[in-house]
Amino acid sequence: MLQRLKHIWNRTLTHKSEVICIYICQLIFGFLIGCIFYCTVDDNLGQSMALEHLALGFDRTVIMDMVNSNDEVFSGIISWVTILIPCYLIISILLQGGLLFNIKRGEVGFKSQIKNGAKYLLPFFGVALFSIVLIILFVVVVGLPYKAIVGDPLTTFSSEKPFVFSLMALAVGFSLWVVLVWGFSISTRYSHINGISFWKSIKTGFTFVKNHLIELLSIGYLLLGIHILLAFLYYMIMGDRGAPSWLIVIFGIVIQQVFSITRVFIRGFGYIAVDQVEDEFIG
Amino acid sequence: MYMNAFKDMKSSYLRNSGGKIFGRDIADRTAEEWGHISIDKMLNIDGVNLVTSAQYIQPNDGNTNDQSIIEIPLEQPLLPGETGTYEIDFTTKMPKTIARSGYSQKDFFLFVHWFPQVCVYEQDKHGIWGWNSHQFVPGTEFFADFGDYNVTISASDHLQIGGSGCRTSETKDKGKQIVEFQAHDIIDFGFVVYSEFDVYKSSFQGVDIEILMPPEHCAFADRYRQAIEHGLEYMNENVGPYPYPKITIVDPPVHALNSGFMEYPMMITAASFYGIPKSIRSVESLVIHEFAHMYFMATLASNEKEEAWLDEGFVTYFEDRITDHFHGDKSSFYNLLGFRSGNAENSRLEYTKLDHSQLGPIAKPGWEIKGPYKGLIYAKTSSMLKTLEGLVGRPAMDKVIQTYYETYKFKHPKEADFRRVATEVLSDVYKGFDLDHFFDQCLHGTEICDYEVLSIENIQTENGYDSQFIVTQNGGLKFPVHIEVTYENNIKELVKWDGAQGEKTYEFKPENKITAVNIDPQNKIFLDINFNNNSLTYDPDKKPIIKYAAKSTNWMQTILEYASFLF
Repeated sequence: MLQRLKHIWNRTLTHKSEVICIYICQLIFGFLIGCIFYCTVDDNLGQSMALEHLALGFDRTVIMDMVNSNDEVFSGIISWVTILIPCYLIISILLQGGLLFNIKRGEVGFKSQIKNGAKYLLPFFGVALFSIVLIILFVVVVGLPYKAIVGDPLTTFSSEKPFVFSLMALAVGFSLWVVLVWGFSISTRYSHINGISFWKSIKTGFTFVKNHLIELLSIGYLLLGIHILLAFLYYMIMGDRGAPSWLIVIFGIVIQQVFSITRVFIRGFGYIAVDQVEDEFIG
Repeated sequence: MYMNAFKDMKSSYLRNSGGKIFGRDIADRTAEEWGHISIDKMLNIDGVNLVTSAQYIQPNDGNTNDQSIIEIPLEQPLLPGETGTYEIDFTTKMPKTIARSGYSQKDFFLFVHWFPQVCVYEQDKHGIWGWNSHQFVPGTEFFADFGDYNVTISASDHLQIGGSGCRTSETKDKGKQIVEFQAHDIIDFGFVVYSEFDVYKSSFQGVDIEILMPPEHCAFADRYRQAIEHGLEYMNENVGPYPYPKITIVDPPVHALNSGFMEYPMMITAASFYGIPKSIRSVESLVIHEFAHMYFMATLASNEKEEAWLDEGFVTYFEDRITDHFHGDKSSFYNLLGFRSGNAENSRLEYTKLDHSQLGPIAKPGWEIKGPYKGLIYAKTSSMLKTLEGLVGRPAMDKVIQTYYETYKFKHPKEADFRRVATEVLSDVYKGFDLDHFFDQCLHGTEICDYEVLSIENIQTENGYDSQFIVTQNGGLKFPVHIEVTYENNIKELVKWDGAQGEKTYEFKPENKITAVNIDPQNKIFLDINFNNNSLTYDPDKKPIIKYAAKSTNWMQTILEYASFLF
């Protein structure tokens, strides 16, 4: 197993230029928001000694006084976020599609990534929409009946424990479904890259998920576990250090970016893991 | 006759509720789910039944469907100095849990305001004697006189029972139990029964602590106990000795959550939910808040209907002090994943986030308060007291509260009583401060406080600088305040300002130029609605802005990565 994971990781590293390309794209979008955030806060607090409180760590009074005195303070950032996310999602289809193409066809480099990603933009957009419909399906088929059965949880149950546990079970069920849809989405795109038509790729995706439930769930939960571990590690390292010195601020920025790029590598790792399983399936 | 507020939707308490109490639908109840109370007979010492001439009255709103106040004329007037003895038989039907009192699943019953309570006969603010008898209407709580209680409860023996007072005897026989409670000098008696309660008993500083909670909340038992111990320790030391031998904490099960969040003499109802982490101290804050009511409600029994700020405001002030003392003033409310807030901080923000142009004064009857009740009565009062503390200092403030408590315990103090005590105590320690003006503007006014530094200017001269800075008070509240002036050589100087509304220019001829001006540097004026504009500096520390800008960059990257997992 370890050998297999190591092999997948080595394959991931061969696609580092594509992964870095995705990371840089995310960084540009993030940096835009960071700049808007800087200007907004600087306009409101830039000459205030209240910044000294923020230098010691998170200070709710400083933040809320800023929000209370100017209701619109973050509305600019929020509207930019709502514009940038859909834009990125479109770009993401291109970049991820290119990465998937390179993985499947054994090519490397971000030029091939962008060129082939553009070629598959429309069909992969269709796959993304189809996957979202599958996610919504869970909400409709499981979520709504659950809500109807539970009703007002404060009066339905004699204790909140069954409600909390049922919510946890629902969350586990949802995560299972999400992992399977994720596997379906990758497999469908791989099929299409292999020259299979859109609707046949969709069918292949379903067949793949049906035949590789255990493998997909193993990969999915391994990645989920790594993400949770990363979040925990990030919190342990960063905590609430404040900004007492430039060294601490720069250290924080470096750590944040290390975690960001790691997340993108993990995604590439997931694509290659599914590819490995699919190769065995096709083989 | 509080229970008649839950007789139907026509009562004054419920008719304007919009069919919801604490966010729960109540309008479509069956007849069995409503409650009521009636006096079957009231006999005087001669055995004459006085109820025959009784009538319900509606002094507040004239709603003839409201039966929360009953007037029972005596056969003969009771003259000053005379006493009368009366025997009352009454019947109470408990409603399904609605606003605290009532029943729920698995034989849960909270019996509060379950018996006819005699109104308080007292002098009004003009000195005229009479019955203080307000209806039970929204925005009000309770007001009753002190008494001694001997209560015998007969119940099935599968039930756990807890209540105000101390248990004096307990017998069990043939599936039945008889429990007797006794309590002295309390203004109300409540009790609770439930088949599922686990009971936790302990003792601290000579006070018995009894916690009743459903098994699913057992993880909170220690948190409750510690919170009560913190409350006892702090109040004993800073206000006065806890006046009762026992305190009972009731944690209702989730199906009776509307029974929670309330105070009764020697008994409080808390609220918790399975899985609340320790770093979110809502459980502790609530218990400490309700416990502080044992001082400001149970002992200093102010009129909660007419002057709610006198109990809820003081209680919030002490809740904030106690939790901040034991858990840190920046983390006592929650401290989770790098985000944190203190209790006093939270109270101030509850007040400052209100729409100030629509605020009313806090010293007015509950039924006249329209709008943000909690933000005004709890939060603004608490922030006002913390402002007073900032102005006069913690020791002087404690002396005011201790004297107030000692003078008025087991009485019904009013605003004038507290102001009198504060004036007397502070006249010794804080001369030159117009306390009357402080209370008038804070309690009866609607003005706000917002200090701001508008500009700093330095013009170089042969001998140094011609410097000036302009400050302003954007609101009408006037508090004396210090301004900290920082010079280029890092020397700091304090300047006094009366804090009056409008702009004020200060001119200096210093050797070094002024680099920063900070009004109220220690944030003593807690009512100030914006601390951020209190200061202006030529040398701002931009590191935090860079840090948060970098964080927001990273948050955006994280959002994009996870949002695009199917794209």
